[in-house]
Amino acid sequence: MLEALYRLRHGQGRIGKSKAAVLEAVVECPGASRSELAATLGKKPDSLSRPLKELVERGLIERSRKGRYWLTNNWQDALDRERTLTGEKLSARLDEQGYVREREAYRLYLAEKEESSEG
Amino acid sequence: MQARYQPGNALTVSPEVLTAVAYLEERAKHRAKKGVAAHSRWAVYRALIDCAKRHGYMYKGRDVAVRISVRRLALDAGLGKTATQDALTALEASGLVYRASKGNGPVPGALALRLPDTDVTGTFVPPPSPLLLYRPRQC
Repeated sequence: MLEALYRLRHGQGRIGKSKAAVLEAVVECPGASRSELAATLGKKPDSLSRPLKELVERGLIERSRKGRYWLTNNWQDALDRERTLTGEKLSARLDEQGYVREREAYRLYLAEKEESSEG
Repeated sequence: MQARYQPGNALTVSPEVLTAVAYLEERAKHRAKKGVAAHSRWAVYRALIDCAKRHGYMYKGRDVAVRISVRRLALDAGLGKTATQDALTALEASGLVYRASKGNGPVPGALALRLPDTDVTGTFVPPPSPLLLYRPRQC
């Protein structure tokens, strides 16, 4: 699951890599407070207030009354939904298709080059 | 049709590679990841480490090398191709990664993860001053 977190892509409206790092810290130490998370990530606690708030709004984590952060029960489903709605899956698939086309074109180019050198 | 390669177990990674990768992973976790594109660099580095766990090999006796294309690396790191190239350039500049061999036709090149000792101080943080994109006019 951690692999999926660092594959999150940058982009408008997306979770992005910096918020993914915060989410990963919550996955690794559930129930941590903001200052504990900040210490883990090597950041100031104030700089985490916005990403944590956004992650709560997206339904990935929840904040307890004592100011501790926990993963929601269905955070993996929520993450999957986010990736679909923000077009991350689509852009990854498009990239993959583009790379397949590039590889195929290069293979054809090499074959043609070999043919012309032989002929 | 005859097979082009001898059958073998491609999943076998030597224990010394796994030890080196575990050491690299532990060291990398404590490196700073602040600033522009630092997370992209970290994603590329981590994708390389994951790849090394699966099919890394020892290079020059102490470093760990992986044969991977930039396209595959980009997909694994969740980045575009250009961002991956930029991250690789920065990682090379910081001394964490270097190119072990160039690609040849459809066979991708190899990237080596340098085992940090005294001569590597690289972080995922960009340099403190912005890069000089143009030369100031001489008076």
